[in-house]
Amino acid sequence: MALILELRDGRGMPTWHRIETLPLTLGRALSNDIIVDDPYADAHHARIRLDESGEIAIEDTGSVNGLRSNGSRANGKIIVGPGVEVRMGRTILRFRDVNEVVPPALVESPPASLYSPRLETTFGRSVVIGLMLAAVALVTWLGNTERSSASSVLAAVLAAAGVSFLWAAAWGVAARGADRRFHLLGHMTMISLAILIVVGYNVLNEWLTFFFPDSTIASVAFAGVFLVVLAALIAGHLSVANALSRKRRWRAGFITSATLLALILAPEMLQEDEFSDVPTFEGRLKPVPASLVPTSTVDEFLGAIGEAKDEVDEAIAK
Amino acid sequence: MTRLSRFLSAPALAICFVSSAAIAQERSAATSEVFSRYASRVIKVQVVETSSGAKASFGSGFFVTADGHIVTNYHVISSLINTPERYRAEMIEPGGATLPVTVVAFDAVNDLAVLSSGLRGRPYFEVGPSPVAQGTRLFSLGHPKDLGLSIVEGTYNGLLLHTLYPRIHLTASLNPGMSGGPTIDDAGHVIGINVSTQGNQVSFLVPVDRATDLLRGALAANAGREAPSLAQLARQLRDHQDVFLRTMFDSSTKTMELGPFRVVTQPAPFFRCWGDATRDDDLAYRKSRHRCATDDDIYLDEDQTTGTITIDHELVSTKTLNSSRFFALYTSVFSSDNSPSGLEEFVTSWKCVTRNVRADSVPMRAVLCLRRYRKLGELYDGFLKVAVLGSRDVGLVSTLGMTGVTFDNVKRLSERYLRLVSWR
Repeated sequence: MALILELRDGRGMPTWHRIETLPLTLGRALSNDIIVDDPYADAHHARIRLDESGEIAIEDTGSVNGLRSNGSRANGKIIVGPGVEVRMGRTILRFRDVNEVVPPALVESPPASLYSPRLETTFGRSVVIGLMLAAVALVTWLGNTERSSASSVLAAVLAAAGVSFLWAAAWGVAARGADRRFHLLGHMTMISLAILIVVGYNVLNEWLTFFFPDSTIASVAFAGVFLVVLAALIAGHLSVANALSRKRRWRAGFITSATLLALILAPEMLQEDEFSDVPTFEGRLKPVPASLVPTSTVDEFLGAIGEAKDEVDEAIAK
Repeated sequence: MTRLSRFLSAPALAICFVSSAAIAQERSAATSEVFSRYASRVIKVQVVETSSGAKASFGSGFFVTADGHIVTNYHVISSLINTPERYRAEMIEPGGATLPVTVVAFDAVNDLAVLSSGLRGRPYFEVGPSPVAQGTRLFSLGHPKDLGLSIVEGTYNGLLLHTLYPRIHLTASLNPGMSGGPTIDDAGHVIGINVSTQGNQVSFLVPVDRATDLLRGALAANAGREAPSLAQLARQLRDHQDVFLRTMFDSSTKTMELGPFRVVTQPAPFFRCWGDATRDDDLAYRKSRHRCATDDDIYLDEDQTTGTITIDHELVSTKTLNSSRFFALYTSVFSSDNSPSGLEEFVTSWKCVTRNVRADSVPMRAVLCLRRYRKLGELYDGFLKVAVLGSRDVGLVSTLGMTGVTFDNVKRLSERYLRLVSWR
């Protein structure tokens, strides 16, 4: 039976040594058989040898901090075998059997899949981030009515870049996987995609409410878009971090997104209409030729105010 | 115009002192005579919150019959009509005695009320027609700022020309608290009832014939008449608007050119119109505005008036912005709020319908909003706002505000108004 000595340093990083020839010396000095890089270990700290009865034992060779077993300092030798743990300074020495059974290998999930293989290249990712910043710049410029709009456009682009960087950095730190990499660019790509979709949805929504001001689709669609985009964003971040299987990423995404949506919508649903003396209406106007705008007649328009009358009459009846 | 239940600014008072000091010498004898002869006919009216006993509002009033009827302003006692369960009214005699009074009749449109005190045999003013020439010296009596009964000299300057409700223009410094007091000539004829001021000696009276009518009605039907109530207030407001809205915005309505558009202006003589324009070279656009509003309103509360019609045209144009950016501007002008304000105590929230509408071939975005008065029967506020579509660099946002009108009037005025907005 051969023993394996597993050393875990203060941060938990392991190294393994097969115990074949005895005795072995341990310590910080480079002349030792096993060098222990631990400032709390002596230059010559301990020795592993066969004792008189033929068992393998570890003993202190006059160190400052000694050897500790089960939390208390050991006097003299400690007999070691598979499963025994000894502390030396801040280093853990664990003795394990060579023939110890290890768990079966994990089935590797499909290669870190983003939504498209193109998004895995640095070029593809840079394009997405660039598109997002360009979209933010364009939307800001079109919404600005000052003669010189450069400064506000620049401010919006910097803000978008800054916020998405911070968001990506937070994900990078929080979801740092087994490979210990931050994947900053990947996370940036995900948040950029989400921003692009939201900006696009907004533009589409403005045009729809301009053409069809009386339809209620917009508010329903908002909840749906919110749910899907946030779920996809979370799944995307998890995929960048290479965490969980594909199915579980989406499940996590949808659960988080639905919870958040419920938290946002619940107070609104429970709350009774608050009084306001400011009318709310769809005021978006779009530059299109008048012939393309579907219009009602004056009579249809004034007929529709009957619904508003019913609502205010009902408010009085309460 | 400030109602006399509110405060005047200090400079207005200073001017009053200077000008009256110069002429004080020759008139002092007559004024003191007038005061001593008629002061006993004027009393203080105050409205008290029942539970706390705190004074909610006060004004002046004067005896008009041997049976102790008192005339004052509606706005002095309006809280008694709005929430009768919370308030009671009382009068304070010149001697200092306090007596409860009840509201017998009121006329919210002309801002008058008749109270009953039950006191008999007091000296009183006979109200009736009293012709008076412009320039006549008059005397206003009342309790300015609760400082005790005072007399203020003024000059009669005729009826205001363009008001919906008749008002006498009196050159005198009336102050808060004098509301409801009489303005008389030196023979003791009541000419009008103190009602409001614009400061700088510009003050207004309700002509005495309105009080005569109200008093006659109150005395004639004294037996079987209903108690003054919100329902009565609602009926007064409705009857009043039916008259003045009947012909508004019909085909004879005056229009004017505003940029490439033709819009309504000065729908009736009692509207006041004014305009302004933004022509700053640093801006990428130009804005001009033309507004008209009825000059007078009906008092419901310190912060809530009704019975007004307002028109607001905003023209925006650009030579530098492209069409998308111009429409971002147009959207913000269209969306900015210029609706009549309202208090939760009196009105509901707005409910709106929004459509793209074609009125006489003019395509526009139109919003019509409605809210209802909580305690005034079938009365609503209406708010119509349109933005003309079809141009890439010029736009018109036109607003019609209507307060205290019936639903039918909201619809009728909106329809007429929509058809009056057009390209030149």
